[in-house]
Amino acid sequence: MAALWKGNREKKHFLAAMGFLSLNVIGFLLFTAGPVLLSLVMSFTNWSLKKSVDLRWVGFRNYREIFAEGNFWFYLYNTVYFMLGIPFAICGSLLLANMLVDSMQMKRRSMRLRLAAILVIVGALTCGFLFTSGRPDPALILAVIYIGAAAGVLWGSVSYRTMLYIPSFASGVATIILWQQIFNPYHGMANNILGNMSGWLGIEPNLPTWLNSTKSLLGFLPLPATFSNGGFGLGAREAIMIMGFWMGIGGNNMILYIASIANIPQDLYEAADIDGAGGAGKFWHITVPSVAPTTFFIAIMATIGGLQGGFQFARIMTQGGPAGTTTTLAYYIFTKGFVEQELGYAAAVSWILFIIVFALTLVNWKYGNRKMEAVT
Amino acid sequence: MSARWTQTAAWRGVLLFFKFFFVSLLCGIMFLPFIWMICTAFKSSGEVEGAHFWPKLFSPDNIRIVLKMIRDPFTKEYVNLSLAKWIFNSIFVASWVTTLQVFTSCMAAYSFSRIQWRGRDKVFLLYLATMMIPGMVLTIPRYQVMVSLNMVNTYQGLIIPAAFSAFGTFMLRQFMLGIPQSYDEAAEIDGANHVQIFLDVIMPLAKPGMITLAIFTFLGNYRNLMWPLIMIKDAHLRTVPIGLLSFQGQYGAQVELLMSATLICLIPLIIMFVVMQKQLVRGISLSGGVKG
Amino acid sequence: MRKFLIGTVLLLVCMSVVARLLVPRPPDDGKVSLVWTTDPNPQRDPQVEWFNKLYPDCALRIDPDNADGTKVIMQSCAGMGPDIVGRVFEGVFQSYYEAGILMDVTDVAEEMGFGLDTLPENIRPLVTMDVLMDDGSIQSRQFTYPCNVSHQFIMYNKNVFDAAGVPYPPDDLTWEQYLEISRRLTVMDDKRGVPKVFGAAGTLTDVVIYSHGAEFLNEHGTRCIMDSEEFVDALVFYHKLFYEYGAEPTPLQKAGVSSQGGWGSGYNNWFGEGKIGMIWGERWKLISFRRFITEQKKARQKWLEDNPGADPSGGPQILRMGGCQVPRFRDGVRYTSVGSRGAAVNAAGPNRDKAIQFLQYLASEKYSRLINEGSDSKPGNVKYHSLDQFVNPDWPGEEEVHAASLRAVQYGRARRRSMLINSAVLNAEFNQLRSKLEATPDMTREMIADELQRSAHRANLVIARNIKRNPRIREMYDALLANGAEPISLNLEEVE
Repeated sequence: MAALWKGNREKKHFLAAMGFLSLNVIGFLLFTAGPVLLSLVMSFTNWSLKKSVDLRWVGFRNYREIFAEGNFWFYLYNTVYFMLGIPFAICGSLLLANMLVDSMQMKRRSMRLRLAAILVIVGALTCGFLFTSGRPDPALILAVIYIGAAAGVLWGSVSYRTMLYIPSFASGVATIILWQQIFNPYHGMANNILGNMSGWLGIEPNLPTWLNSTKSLLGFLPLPATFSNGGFGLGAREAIMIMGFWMGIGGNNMILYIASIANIPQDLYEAADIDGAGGAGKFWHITVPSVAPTTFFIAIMATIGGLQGGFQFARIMTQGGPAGTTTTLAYYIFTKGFVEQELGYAAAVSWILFIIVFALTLVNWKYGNRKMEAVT
Repeated sequence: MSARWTQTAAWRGVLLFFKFFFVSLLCGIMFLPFIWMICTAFKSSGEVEGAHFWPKLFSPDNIRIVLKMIRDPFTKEYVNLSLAKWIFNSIFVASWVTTLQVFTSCMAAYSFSRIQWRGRDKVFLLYLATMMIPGMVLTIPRYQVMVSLNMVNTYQGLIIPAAFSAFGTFMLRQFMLGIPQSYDEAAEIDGANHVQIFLDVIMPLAKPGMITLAIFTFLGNYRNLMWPLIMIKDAHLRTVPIGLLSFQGQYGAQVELLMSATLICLIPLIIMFVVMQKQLVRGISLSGGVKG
Repeated sequence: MRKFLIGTVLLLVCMSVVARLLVPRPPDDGKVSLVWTTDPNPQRDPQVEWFNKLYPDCALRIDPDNADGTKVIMQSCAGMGPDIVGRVFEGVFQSYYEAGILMDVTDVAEEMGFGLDTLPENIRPLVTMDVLMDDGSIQSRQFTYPCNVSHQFIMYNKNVFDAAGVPYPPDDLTWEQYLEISRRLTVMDDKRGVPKVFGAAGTLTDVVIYSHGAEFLNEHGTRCIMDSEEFVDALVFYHKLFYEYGAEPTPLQKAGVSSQGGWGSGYNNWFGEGKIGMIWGERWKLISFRRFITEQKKARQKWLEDNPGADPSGGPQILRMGGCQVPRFRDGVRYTSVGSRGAAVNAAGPNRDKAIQFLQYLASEKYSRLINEGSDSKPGNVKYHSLDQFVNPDWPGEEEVHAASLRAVQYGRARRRSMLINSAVLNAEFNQLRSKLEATPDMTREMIADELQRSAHRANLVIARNIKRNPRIREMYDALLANGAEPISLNLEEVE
C-alpha cells in the first residue's frame, strides 16, 4: 500500500478520498462492475438461457462470427447514420441555452403586465376570428404561439424552458404512437404540412412515405444490396431522426448548457464589452470556450447514448424495419440475446460496441481536456 | 462606430423583440406534436386518425373514462387501471432514487475532482467505461444479483440498483471541476478537514449541478421502462410506464384513451419540473454572486 | 439547506410508510395459489371463475404483465416463473422447451383424459415435441394442451358483394376465382389513388406456400429448403398479390385508408365497415364483429327513427357474413394453416399436480362451452366441435361462418418443425424477408430467389452449427440419420 501515498499529508488525502468513494463503490461493484465483467467473460462462451446447452468456453468464435456476418455491418451503418444528427442537436441545444439563459424579463412589472395583456387580447381576437370562420387548426397553432409569447413576457425564460423541456420527458409509449400517426403518409401531420407548404410554393412534390420507405439522405451511396438502400430521399431513418431532434434539443442538454453558461463569470463579458465585441463575437470567444467541460460531457454522453440508442423506437415503432433499415446495434443485441437467447453472442456484440465507444471517448478525452486547459 | 449603435436602447429593443418572436415560434413548433396529443385525448374514437387537430366533437369523455368516472361505452365496464397508484409508485421510487443518487454521486464526484490521489483519473475512466457497455447485456447478470439479494418484485429492487450512477458522478465531477481550486485551499489553510470542505464549501457551490442532476434523475426514473419491466411481477408495484404499457396491451386500439391516461400521468411531472426549475435558477444566481 | 435535507428525509419516510400500508396482504384461506400468465382478455374472467368453482382447493389468477416469452424464461430460470405458462404459441413453444420450462405431460394426460386423441389430428404436432428417449428412439411427447385451436378460412361481407353485384364465393374456392372476385370488389378512390374498398385482405403466407407445394423444411427437419423453385414461385405469387393482382392491401395503401367515422384501423374494423370484401381468419374475429353489429343496429335504429318512411334498403347497413375455404389452385390441393394457443405446466413450479388439473380443465365440457359461446376460435377437444355447439342463439346469422370453420378442420396442416433449429430463428429470417417483399414494389423474381438463397443458407448454417456445438442436438441428428433422414446440406467438418 505504501506506493499509494507519500508522507502523512497524502495518506490523509487518500483515506479521505476512499471514504468519499466507498458508498458509491459498493453499489458500483455490485450492480455494474460485476455484471460488466461477467458479460466480458460470457462473450467468450456459448452462454444461453437454454437448459439443453451446456456452458462451454468457445474462445473468439462469437467475435469471428459477428464479423463474418454481413448484418453486423449493416446495423453498425444504421447506428452511425442515426448518430450523424448528434452534432446538430448539440449545437441547437447550445444556441437555445444561450438565448434562454437570461431571465428575459422586463424590469418593470406594469410594463410586463401591459404587454402580456396586449398579446392575449390580440391573440384572442385573431384566433377567435379564425376559429369562428371555420379554421380551428391554424387558430389553435397561433393560440399556442401567442400563449407562449404572453407567458414569456410574464415569466421570462422559465416558461420557455418548461415548454421546450416537456417533449423530452413526455417521451414514452404514447409519444411513439403519436409520432407514428404524424408520419402517416396520407393523413399524418408531417405530410399535411409539407403538402400545404408545397401548395403555397406551387410545386407538386412526391411526398415522402416516411416509416414505409427505405430511402435515406445518404441513399445515393453505392452500398451493398444487403443494406436495403432505397435511394436518395426521406425515409424511415429520417423520420426517427426528426423525432429524436424533437425529444433531444430542448432536453437535458439544454438544461446543462443553461446551468453552465449561467456559471460563466460576468466580468469576462464586461471585459469583452470594453473591447467592443459584438454578440456573436462574445458567444464565439467567451461562451463556447467557457462551456467546454459541459460540451465535453455532453459529447461523451451523446456518443455513448447514440451508439446504444434506437432500441425503443425500433421495438415499438418499426420492429427494425422496413427491410432492417432502422435496426440499430442495440436492437440487434436485444433480438440476439432475448429473442434468440444467444446471450454469449449478444455479449460479444456489446463488447465490440464498447471498444468503438471507448476509442471515440479517448479521442474526445484528449481533445476535450486540451481544450479545457486552454480555458483555465 | 459599430460599438455605438449596437449599444442603443432601440437596437436592443429590436433584438429583444426578434428573440421573443423566434423563441415563441420555436416553442410553438416544438409543441405541435404535444398539442396533437392533447387534442387526441379529447377526440372520439372515430376521429383519432384524422389529419385535423381540433376535435370535431369536443368531449371530455375519454378523460372521464380513464379516471373511472364513467364506464367504457363499448365494454360497459370500468377500464382496468389505477392511475393514482401508478403515479404514487413512480413518485415514491423516483424520490428515493433521486435522493440517494444525488448523495452518492456528490460524494464520489468530490473524491474524483477535489482530492488529489494516485490513480484517480484511471479509476474514473474505469467508471466511465462501464457506461459504454450496452445496458441490455447487463440486465440478466443484474437480475441474478437481485435474485440472490432477494429483491425481485419489491420496491427495494427498483430503488437500490438505481441509487449508484456513473452518469451522476461524471456530471457532478464536471461541475465541480469548474469551481476554482482556491476556495478549498483557503479552507484547508483555515484548518478545515475534507468533510467540512465538502459540506460547507463545495456542496453549496455545486448546488445548481446537484439540482440539475436531481431533475434528470427524477424525471428519468419516473418514466424508466426497462428495469421495472423486468423487476416487477405484482400489479400493486406498477409504476406509470409499466401501467401504461399494460393499459396499451388491453386497450391499444383505443389511442384516445391511451393519450388521456398519458396526459394525466404527465401532470405531476410538469408541476415537479416547474418547481425544481425555480430552484435551479435561484441556485445559479446564488453561486454567480459568490463568483462575480 | 439543512432544513431542506431534513424535510426530504421526513417526506421519504412518510411515503415509505404509506407504501408499506398499501401493500395488499394475500388471503390466508388454505387454498393453493396458481398463477396463469396470459392476456387480459375479458373472456378470461369466466374461465378463471369456473376453474375455481370446479377445483375448490385452488385459487387461480391470471398475470397478464408477465406473459411475454422472454420474461417467462428469465423468471423461470430464476425459479420465479408462473405455475401455468400461458400463450404458448408456435413461435415460443420450442424456446420454452429448450429452456426446460415445460413439463412432459404425455402419460398423465392419457390418464386424466386430455391426451392427444382428444385433439384434431393436424393440431397434435403443435402440442408435441420430438424427444430423443433413453433407448435411442424418437418419440412425440405432449407438453401443452390448447386453450383454443384455429383453422383459417375466409369470411366475406355480403353487403360488399351485393353492392358490387358479385355472386358470393363458392366454398371450394380456387385462386383463379379469388383473384377475379377480389378484382371486381375493389373500388378505387380516384382522388387519393387508394382503394375505398379492398377486395380481400389478410392472406396467409403459409397457405400460399402450401398451395405451391413448397415447405420451409424437409421431412425430418435436417435441411431448410426455402430456396426451392416452388418456394420462389410461392413468394413471387405472394408479391404479385400486392403489386399486380391488387388482392392484398400494400403497406402504403393500408396507411392511406381513412378510418373517419369508424372504430379505428386494422382489417377487422375495415371489414366491419364494409371496406374489405373477404378477410382471412378464424371464429375469434366474430368477437369484434359482434361489437360492430351492436353499434350498427343502434345506428340503423336511429336512422329509421330520423327518416320515417324512407326506403328501408338505404341508410346504415348491418354487417352480414358468409364463410368459405381458403383458395387452392384449380388442379391443386387445399391446405390451410393451423394454430393453437396452448397452456403448459411449469416444470419447476411448486404446485405441479394442481396445475395439471388446469390442463384437464381445458379439455372439459365447461371450458369448451365457454370458448364456443364466446366464439374464441375453437376449443381443443374435438368432442365439442359441432355446429349446434358453435351457434350462439344470441347471435343469429353466423351459421355460415361456423359451418365454414368446421369444414376448414379437414384442410389444416401444421408447419414442419425441426429439432435441429429453433423455429423462432427460422421465423425471424422469413419475416424480415416478407416485410421487405411487402414494402418493395419492384422486386423481381431474381431478387426474390437471391434473398431466399441467402436466408436458406443462413438457416442451414445455424442447423450445422447447432449439431456441431450442442452434443444433445448431435445425438438427435444421429438418431434422425438412423431413421433414414437426409443428411444436412453443409459439410459438418467445415463448420466451426
